[in-house]
Amino acid sequence: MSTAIHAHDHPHGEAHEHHGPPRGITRWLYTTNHKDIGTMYLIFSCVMFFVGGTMAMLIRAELFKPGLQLFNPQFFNSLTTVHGLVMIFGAIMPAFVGFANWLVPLQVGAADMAFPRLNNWSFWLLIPAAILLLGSFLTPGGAAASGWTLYPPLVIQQGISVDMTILAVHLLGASSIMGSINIITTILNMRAPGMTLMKMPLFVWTWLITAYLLIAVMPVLAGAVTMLLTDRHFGTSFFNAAGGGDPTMFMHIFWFFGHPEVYIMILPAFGIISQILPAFARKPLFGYASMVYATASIAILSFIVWGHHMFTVGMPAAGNLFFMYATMLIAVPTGVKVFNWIATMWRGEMTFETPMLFAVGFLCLFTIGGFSGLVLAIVPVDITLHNTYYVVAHFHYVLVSGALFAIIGGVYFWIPKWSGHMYNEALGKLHFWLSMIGFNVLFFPQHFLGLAGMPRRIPDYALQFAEWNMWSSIGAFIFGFSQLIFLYNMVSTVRGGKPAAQKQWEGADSLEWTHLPTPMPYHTFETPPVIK
Amino acid sequence: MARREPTREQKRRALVSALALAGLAVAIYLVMMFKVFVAK
Repeated sequence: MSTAIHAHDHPHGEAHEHHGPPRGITRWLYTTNHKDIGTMYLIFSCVMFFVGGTMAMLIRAELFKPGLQLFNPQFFNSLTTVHGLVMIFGAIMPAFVGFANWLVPLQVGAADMAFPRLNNWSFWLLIPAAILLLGSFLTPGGAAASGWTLYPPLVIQQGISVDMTILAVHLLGASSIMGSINIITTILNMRAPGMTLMKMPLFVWTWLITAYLLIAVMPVLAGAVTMLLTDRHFGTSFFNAAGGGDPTMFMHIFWFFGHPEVYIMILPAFGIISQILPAFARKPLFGYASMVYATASIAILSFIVWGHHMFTVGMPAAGNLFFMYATMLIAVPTGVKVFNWIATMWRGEMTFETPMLFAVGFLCLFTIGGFSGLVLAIVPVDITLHNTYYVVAHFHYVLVSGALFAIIGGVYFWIPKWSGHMYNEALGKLHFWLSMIGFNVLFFPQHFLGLAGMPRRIPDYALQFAEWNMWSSIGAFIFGFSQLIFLYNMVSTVRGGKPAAQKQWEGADSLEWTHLPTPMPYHTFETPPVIK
Repeated sequence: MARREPTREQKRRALVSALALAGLAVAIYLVMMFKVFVAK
């Protein structure tokens, strides 16, 4: 980890002038400032999180008891499909890009991203994509109802909403690739003097690796959905069995993108957790170098495990075995990370403010998600549990208590620096405990439902599943309500409140805490910091 | 004082990196499409 020897953020003379942002809507439309763009990404992500969360509440309301209560099955399927797409591409990924925009330049000592205008464009592509995705509900037949994986042949048979979804995915992919190019070039070319790669904070490292993953797999998704489009409208039969095509090929291509995508959503979370835990344990991160190598190992292994999503399609036994063992191998670098986080806390002078609570919550619950992933990696077990609620429980433990808890913890951690105000700690802790309880009541019973054989993506179910579904829905409403507390806390923090200190967290040691005032000026590192 | 601009050398290196990465993304897309088209 880097140690700064002196700060020169505001040298004497003209730099003392206030050089704030332009005013009005044009500030946001035309901005090339990484902090503004980071803020816009985070606000967009928050809006999409509540849109996708509302869909989740509707899904759980329908599943509260057996029978069809609120929706017809087609609309229910649209809800589960768009909920997945919105949460993945609209909430989780843009949130991490928002963090990257805010933090990467600050943590490497750069004045801004390498390509500020490209950065602006990357963000504004998200808006038409979101309009297309959500607007597809208004088309005849409703939004895409094939599941977020967009499997043919179902997706080839639906109406114009699928075309809107495909276009949205193309726009989101283009935005991700441009954002990734910007992040990689910033990290590789814009670092302050003395900021070597192995001195970079782990958040920057995780994003460097994530950005490479995005560039490698987003074009694969783009290719897959382009072929879907030509199957639908231009007479090709890539995936259409009626024309000699192969739907299984889509699954291979999709999951070659899809599994690295899982790590795209979790590696930056690892980076955030690796910043929060040392700050509140008041110790340096244990095993910094091994954390970097473990992150890279996870990223590389993510390219050779896609087949574990499709053990039931009838691959040869050797193929199944390869994907099973490769998947289990990922537990090794992931275990290194979990060990290092625990060792960081070991004998630390820990305090449990809200960011630390979410980080520890992440550590406990993400590990449960990892273990249930190992269960699903075992071919005969997966064949039994495939497409059941056990899978739903597993990936929500990874993506909600993993990615989302890290995002929320990161927002609590950095909001004092970003806004200049301290959030309400009591409300933060209330938010954490309600989230923790609500989340587990929501998703832990889904393991039982899956083990008992309840399939996913159904609006109605057999009576034997009634009780755990009711508990799951109650948990969902608690979890959903607790996010409103978060929203209130963050809005009131941004609007005012107790001033935050320059170094609000005693153990935080990256450049934004050690070198920059709180709140930060509009332009930072006008003179590059020198890192020892 | 406005934002500190990168040096000419930083700009040059960033541009080379960006073009290489964009080329990589386009190449992955095209290789996959051509492979599937030829296979079909």
